[in-house]
Amino acid sequence: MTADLIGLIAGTLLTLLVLSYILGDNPLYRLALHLLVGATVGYGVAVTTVTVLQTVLPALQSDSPRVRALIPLVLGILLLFKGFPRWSAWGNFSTALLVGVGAAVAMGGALVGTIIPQIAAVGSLNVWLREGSAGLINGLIVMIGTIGALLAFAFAVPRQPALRRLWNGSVGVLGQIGRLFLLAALGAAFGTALTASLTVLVGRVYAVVMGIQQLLTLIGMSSG
Amino acid sequence: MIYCPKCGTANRQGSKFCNECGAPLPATGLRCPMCGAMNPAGNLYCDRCSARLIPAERVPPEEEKPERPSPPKGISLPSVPLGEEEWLSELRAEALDLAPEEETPGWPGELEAPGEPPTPETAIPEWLAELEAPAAPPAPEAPPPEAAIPEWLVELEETVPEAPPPAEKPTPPLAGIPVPPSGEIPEWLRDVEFAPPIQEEPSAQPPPVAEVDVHAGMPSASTTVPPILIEGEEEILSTAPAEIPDWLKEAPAEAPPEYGGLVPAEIPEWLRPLQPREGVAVEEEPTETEGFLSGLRGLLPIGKGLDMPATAQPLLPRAPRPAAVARAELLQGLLSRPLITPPTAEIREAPRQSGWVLTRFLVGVILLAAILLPMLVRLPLFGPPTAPTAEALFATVNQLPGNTPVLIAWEYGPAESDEMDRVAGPLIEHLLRREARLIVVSTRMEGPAAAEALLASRLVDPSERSRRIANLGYLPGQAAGVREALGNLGGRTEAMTGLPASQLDIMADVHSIADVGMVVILAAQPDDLKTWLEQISVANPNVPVVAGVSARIELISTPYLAAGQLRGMVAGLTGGAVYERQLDTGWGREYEYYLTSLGMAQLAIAALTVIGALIFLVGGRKR
Repeated sequence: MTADLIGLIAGTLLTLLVLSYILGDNPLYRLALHLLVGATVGYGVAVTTVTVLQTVLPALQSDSPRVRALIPLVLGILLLFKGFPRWSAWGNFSTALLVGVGAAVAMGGALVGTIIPQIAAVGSLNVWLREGSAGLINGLIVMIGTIGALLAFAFAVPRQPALRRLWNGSVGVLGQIGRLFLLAALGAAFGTALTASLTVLVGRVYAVVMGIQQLLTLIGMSSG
Repeated sequence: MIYCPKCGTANRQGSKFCNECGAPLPATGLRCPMCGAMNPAGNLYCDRCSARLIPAERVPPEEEKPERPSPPKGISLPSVPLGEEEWLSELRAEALDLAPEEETPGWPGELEAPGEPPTPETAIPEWLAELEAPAAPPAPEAPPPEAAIPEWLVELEETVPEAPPPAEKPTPPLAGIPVPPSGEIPEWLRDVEFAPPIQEEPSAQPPPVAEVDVHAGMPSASTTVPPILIEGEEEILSTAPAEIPDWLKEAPAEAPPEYGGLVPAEIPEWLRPLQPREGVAVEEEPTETEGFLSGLRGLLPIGKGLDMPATAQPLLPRAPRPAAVARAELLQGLLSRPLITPPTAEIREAPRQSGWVLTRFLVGVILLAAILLPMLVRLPLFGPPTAPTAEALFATVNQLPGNTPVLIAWEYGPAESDEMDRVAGPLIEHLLRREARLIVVSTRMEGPAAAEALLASRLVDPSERSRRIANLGYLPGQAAGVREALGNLGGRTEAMTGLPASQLDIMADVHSIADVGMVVILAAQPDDLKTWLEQISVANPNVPVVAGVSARIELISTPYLAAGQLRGMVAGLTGGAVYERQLDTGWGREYEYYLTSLGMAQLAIAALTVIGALIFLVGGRKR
């Protein structure tokens, strides 16, 4: 019995245990759930440990400046003090470094990689005209949808009657259009999420069928 | 002007509170004897009831009218202690030159017995004399009987008996007010002690100012206040008691022991409230001893108890109240009572549970049937899928030169592998066919294992793995880890062999993102796709990036595709099927089954949704 066959059988059984939730909460489903959580945590700890050791130990043994490996090692050890309330302050510097560097990197990436390119793309006529009239129409729809979706959350109105009428005639109408866009976007998001889930279900059912077929073949009840 | 007793700021006449510090200002003005309302100083009649505020007296001719002292207009704090005032000197001089028949008013004559020495009654107005005033106005400047009479006053008094009767009669007494018999002096008036007279000789010592009652606004009957010169004021305010009507003296002074032969009169009804009560101790107000307010008293009245040290009061009563004890006992009883579930709840819950289980079971069976049916029967229900973005990606990969290092961000695990393997499989196989060198990294811990499983299934010759694939493993640190890895790909370690990347042939010329010919992002979650796209845009925006994503994040990925940040994209099972069809790897039958099952499941979901909505509209709304 190969490892692949064992994996196939285990996967099939665990899939059936999880699918037993269709009958409600039961011990079989709980067993599969606990196995999943435990295996995930154990695997994560193993991967993290191996990755860190694989990164740090060769650096310490090499001829290159060891300070590059020593500093992360010391900071990592200090971070372990966070698990002990009495000495948790020793890990403050490591935590501050993690949070600060992480936030700075993420913010810079969001600015350069998402915000500026997306604004440029929405406002660029070249992008609209790239695909001809269809692109132009698509760009206009995107622009109206973006503005309308933003104005859909404008709940304040001016107090002056004249300004209020003007507001309701412009911002109010655009807000209503934006709500339609929001409805369509939420519906599409639900549809794609449902499609992804159904794809996974199809894959699991396919795996169960294949697993049963393999088992039957193994015990000679099927010719494959 | 009213000077604030707290901060010394000058305030407008009639102000009740200080404009600077908000402290209450002493009441000034004239109190109406009839209604008690306060009126501005100088008012002749009350603003509320129109009663006369200042008793009528004879007005001397214009040329004889003394300029000073002026009528009392309230009181201000003394600023400069003075000796004898100018007006007093002038008055003295006028008194010396005064003709008895012209200057002396008639009322002193009526009060004074002929041939007798002058008494304090000489200061009593005529109208009070006619009333046989029960509260004779004390004259602070009038010398007490035992005091030495100033010379100028002696001369003035000598002229009094010879003075003719006044030309104008004073105001008759008010109707309805009982008039005490002439010569009667109230009992409380007998005890009035007169202050010592003003020293006429200039003295180096400042005049006594300690007896000014700021709160009352007016000097008491027993006070002797010198005229006050306010710096910057045009007029000299005088608080001479001779100018103050007796009804303004809220605190009646004690009458002198001997009152010049006047017979104590019966107190009229309207004056009785002013009569001091016997046995009531008058609290001595504190006197300021420092600063420019030194000598003044009653500036900052001390509330009762404020000068006592604060003692902490217990927040809770020492003994609990009976009501609280009863409530506590009731709560304790409720908590200690065993939990009893009403039987009706069980009856109602049981059908609902069974109903939910039945509904769930039916939905599950329908879905499973829809998914399994295409495996048993080939259903040509759906045509070949189309995905332009997948076709664009196929064209991009097709133009990739051989032996190009391709960085693959493997951002999915076993939970999403049923979908993502169908998305990434054709793309990986295409790259392998193009002789690309695949460098795999992942920010998810299970990513390297999932990658290894798929790569092993797509790699035709396992012996070529080391030459074609480098699995650099897990990147901790999220965005920061990605940013670091993009700049230091050669410094990592191969996850499967444990060898440093620098020792791998496949990584010989790859040190950072700049050495990579293409980046493939295989993501099932939106954050993973965004993280990689953003950090690649920072590190090397010129490298072509393509993506294979789950159907779940297809909508989020589309803007990046439209903006040109993604050169191509395979999204979901449909995209994978399109790519597989173009690549023709032999997995077409499986994709066909997958797509048909997916379509059948979507139809089943739509049918169940419609049926559920109809059930709700027909009968479920009532519940």
